[in-house]
Amino acid sequence: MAEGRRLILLVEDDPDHELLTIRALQKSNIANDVRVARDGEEALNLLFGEEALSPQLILLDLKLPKVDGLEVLRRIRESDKTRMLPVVVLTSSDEERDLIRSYQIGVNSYIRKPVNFSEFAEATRQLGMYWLVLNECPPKS
Amino acid sequence: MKPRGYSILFPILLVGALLVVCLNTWFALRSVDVLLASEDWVQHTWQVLTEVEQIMSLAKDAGAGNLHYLLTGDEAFAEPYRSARQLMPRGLDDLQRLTADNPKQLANVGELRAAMQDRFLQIESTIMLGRGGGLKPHEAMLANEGGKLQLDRLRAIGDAMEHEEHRLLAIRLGQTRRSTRSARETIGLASLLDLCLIVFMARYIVRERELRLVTEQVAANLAASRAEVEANALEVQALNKTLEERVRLRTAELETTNRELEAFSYSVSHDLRAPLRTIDGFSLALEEDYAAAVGVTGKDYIKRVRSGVQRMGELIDALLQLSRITRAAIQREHVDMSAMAHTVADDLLEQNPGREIEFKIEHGLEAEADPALLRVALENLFGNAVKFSSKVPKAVIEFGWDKEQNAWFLRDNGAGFDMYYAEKLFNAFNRLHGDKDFKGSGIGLATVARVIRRHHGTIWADSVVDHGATFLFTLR
Repeated sequence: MAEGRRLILLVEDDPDHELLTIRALQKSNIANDVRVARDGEEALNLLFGEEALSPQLILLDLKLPKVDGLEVLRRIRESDKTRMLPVVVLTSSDEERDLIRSYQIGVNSYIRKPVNFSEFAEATRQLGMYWLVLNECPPKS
Repeated sequence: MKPRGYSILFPILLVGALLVVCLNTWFALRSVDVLLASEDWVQHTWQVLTEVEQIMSLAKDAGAGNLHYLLTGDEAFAEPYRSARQLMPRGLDDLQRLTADNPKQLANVGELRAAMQDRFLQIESTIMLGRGGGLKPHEAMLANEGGKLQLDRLRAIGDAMEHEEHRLLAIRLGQTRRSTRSARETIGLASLLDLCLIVFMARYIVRERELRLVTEQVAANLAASRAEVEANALEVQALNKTLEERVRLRTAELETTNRELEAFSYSVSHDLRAPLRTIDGFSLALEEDYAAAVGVTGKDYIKRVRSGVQRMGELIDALLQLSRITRAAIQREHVDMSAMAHTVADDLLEQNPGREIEFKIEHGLEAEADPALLRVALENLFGNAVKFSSKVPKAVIEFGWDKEQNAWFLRDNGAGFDMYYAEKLFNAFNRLHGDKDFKGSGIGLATVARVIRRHHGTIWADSVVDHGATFLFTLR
């Protein structure tokens, strides 16, 4: 397991949820940095732009302004640079349509955000534990 | 009408009628002949009589001047005799000709001729006597006497002839009368028959005509109805086209509505839940990060906030489920109801670890239904049963097939409900228990009802307060 701080890219348009998610991540005590993109365009810029982040995990909401979550996912999977990055869709939507489409494009995991914060916090903790600690991330290209 | 019988009868009758007419005509003609014949006979008789009279008169004339001649010897007095003698043969010949058909009369004519000869001889002899000079009156009268006898004789023959002729005439007239009468009778009968046949024919013709009129009328009616049918068919075709058009439009409208509903649900699943998360999250954050400031009462308040949020979340989920059921297409499959019931029961047992719940599920229950929708219905029904029996120490929930009612039944020994409100049971948001007793959204049964309805089934319930409730439903 690689040591050092791990980078999480959180793509979330709602500032409240952003705060809640970060809080949940902090509570889980997994050493990580979190960068936040407020919409699809910003996410793509962060991944493919000048800065060109290489996160260990991308937490992606589906309903985003400007560029939609599924579109972002598609772009991530299309580019060689980012194809192998683990992407976890974290969304309120329980539409089967979204679920199927996400897996078709190639999401690693699909999580429905529970309303209850405690549950959400627990889910986040588990997410973090799994993807950042247990899971072997693909090597940085 | 018996057409076959009639068609044979008619020619026969026609021939019969013609025969009778011919017969009639023949009889009529015959009676005319008879009448003419009788006319001839009458004429003949009168001719004979006239001839006989003429001869008689000639005979008399022949001896008319005799006496005077005998007395005077004047040749002039012998002239009648001579002329009579001259005319007589022809007269006798004529008479003979006239009576040629009757031998008796012929015989009479023969006698007459003979008598006439005698008379002439006698007159001749007297004339001889008288030639030279006159005779003495008493000699003349004596000579004339003989002539008188002969005249009488001639008279007798003439009378006999006339008598005979009259007799014959009477006979012939009688015959004529008889044959006229029989002719009249026959003609009368024939005419009567003719009349009958004419009447019969007239009736027949009238009937045929009526039949023809009726047939024509029927044909006209038929043509009219056919025209009507054709017009109707055209109308139906036109209506069909407009109907198809309308159906297409309506389907398009429905599809649009469906899509709009889908979009709506999609929005709901995102946009309504998001704020809930915020409320819940920051409430808890408040509690955790500012525990001191919040205090015990504050904690309680936060707990209520969070449970309210929870309830809202469940409500949204239930509503979404309800809306999905309305839109989803039904796909009937063979479903193992017992297995599905067991799965649902097991899930509920897992979700309610603290409680003692016994499920009695019949074996071998099967149905033709949409598995997904049926699952939702069972989850709601079983879930309700579990929820409303939470106040009972041991919950007993039965599920099976009721043969009498011909439906599935789900029975619990929970709180039950007042049958007075049974109608409202399946309306969305109608609740028969307050939150104090049992938490709930009031949508569960509405969802079940919708599932059942979409399967074209029916659902109803029976209950006594505090003695449990039974829900029964069919799926077709």
